[in-house]
Amino acid sequence: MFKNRVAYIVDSDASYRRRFALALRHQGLETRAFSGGGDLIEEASYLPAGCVLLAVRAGEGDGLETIRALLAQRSDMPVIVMRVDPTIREAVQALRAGAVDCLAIPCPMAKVRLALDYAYEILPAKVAHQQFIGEAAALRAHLTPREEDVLKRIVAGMTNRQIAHDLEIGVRTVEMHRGNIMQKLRMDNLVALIRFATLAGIAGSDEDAA
Amino acid sequence: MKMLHEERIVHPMTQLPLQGTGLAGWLYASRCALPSAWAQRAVDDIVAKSVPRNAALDVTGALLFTGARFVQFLEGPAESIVAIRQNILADRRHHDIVTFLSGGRAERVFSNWSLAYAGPSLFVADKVENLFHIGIRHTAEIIDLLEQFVIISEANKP
Repeated sequence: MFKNRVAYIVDSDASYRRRFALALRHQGLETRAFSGGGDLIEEASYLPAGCVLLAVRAGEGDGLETIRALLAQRSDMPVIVMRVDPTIREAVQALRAGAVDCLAIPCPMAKVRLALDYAYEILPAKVAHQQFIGEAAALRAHLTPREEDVLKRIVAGMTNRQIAHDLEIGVRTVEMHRGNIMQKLRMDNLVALIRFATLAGIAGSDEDAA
Repeated sequence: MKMLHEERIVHPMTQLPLQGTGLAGWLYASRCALPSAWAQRAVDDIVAKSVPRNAALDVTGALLFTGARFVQFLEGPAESIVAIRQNILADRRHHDIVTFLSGGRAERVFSNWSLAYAGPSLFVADKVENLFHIGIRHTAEIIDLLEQFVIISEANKP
């Protein structure tokens, strides 16, 4: 049932890692095992999208840095944290850092499968989202810093006149920038522009539009 | 007012009487009556309505949604808790409401009301199921779970 799915196992415990990988392969998964989060992060950009099973062992801290670093590179990969007797605090921290779940080691395969079912269910949407982010970032590169200034203010809901006043430029200049932005981004409406700005990480202006 | 739901009370009313403006608390769990495709929108709607209402009633606490169950802890003036409780019991979006904790509280746990968590985590779902199996001994654990979500999200705010 997990045909053509890839799972990335991270665990410093070599014998558990091997047994867990074997058990997952029995479920039809392809597996790649890593002995530490750093190894996975190093390769992350080249790997096909899959689910990460990240074991955090005693003495390895909270694992939050690994989760964040991994998701910063591959926001499309669902991360499931695994640890021995996770406390409520540890689990909540992992979820808040972006993990989809936190499972106890050892974990019955039925439960691992439940967690993986969900992870693989959301994977296609995450991959698509990651692609949109990539495309938005590529488009953003075409904008000049001034055009970004104007875009931020458009997204924040400011009128051309307000933007002109705020940037101390003429209204006609704002209109020109606005036209160029639309053309470069190949968009013709404000909704698309706002969606682009969100994906590209261009936040609205902090200053109040009024 | 006619109650639409049978309310099951697992925990006996606690020590302090529930009346007037004294501080009261209510911890309950219920089952989501909506198909999962609609559930997320229902949660958004509940949160949008609850934030101003709870603030107006001086009620604090947290809501948790596992996809199948709601768990909510509310605390505030006893009359506010009674009013909200009647509202919730009449709300068709959930059923099988089970009360785990109800009555006077010495002090508040939460400083405002928020959505603690809405998601698919099996860890969270298991903690909620424990409430049903082991009942009242797990009320402290659930309130701790809600509290940790709120504390950590506050700490992550820029």
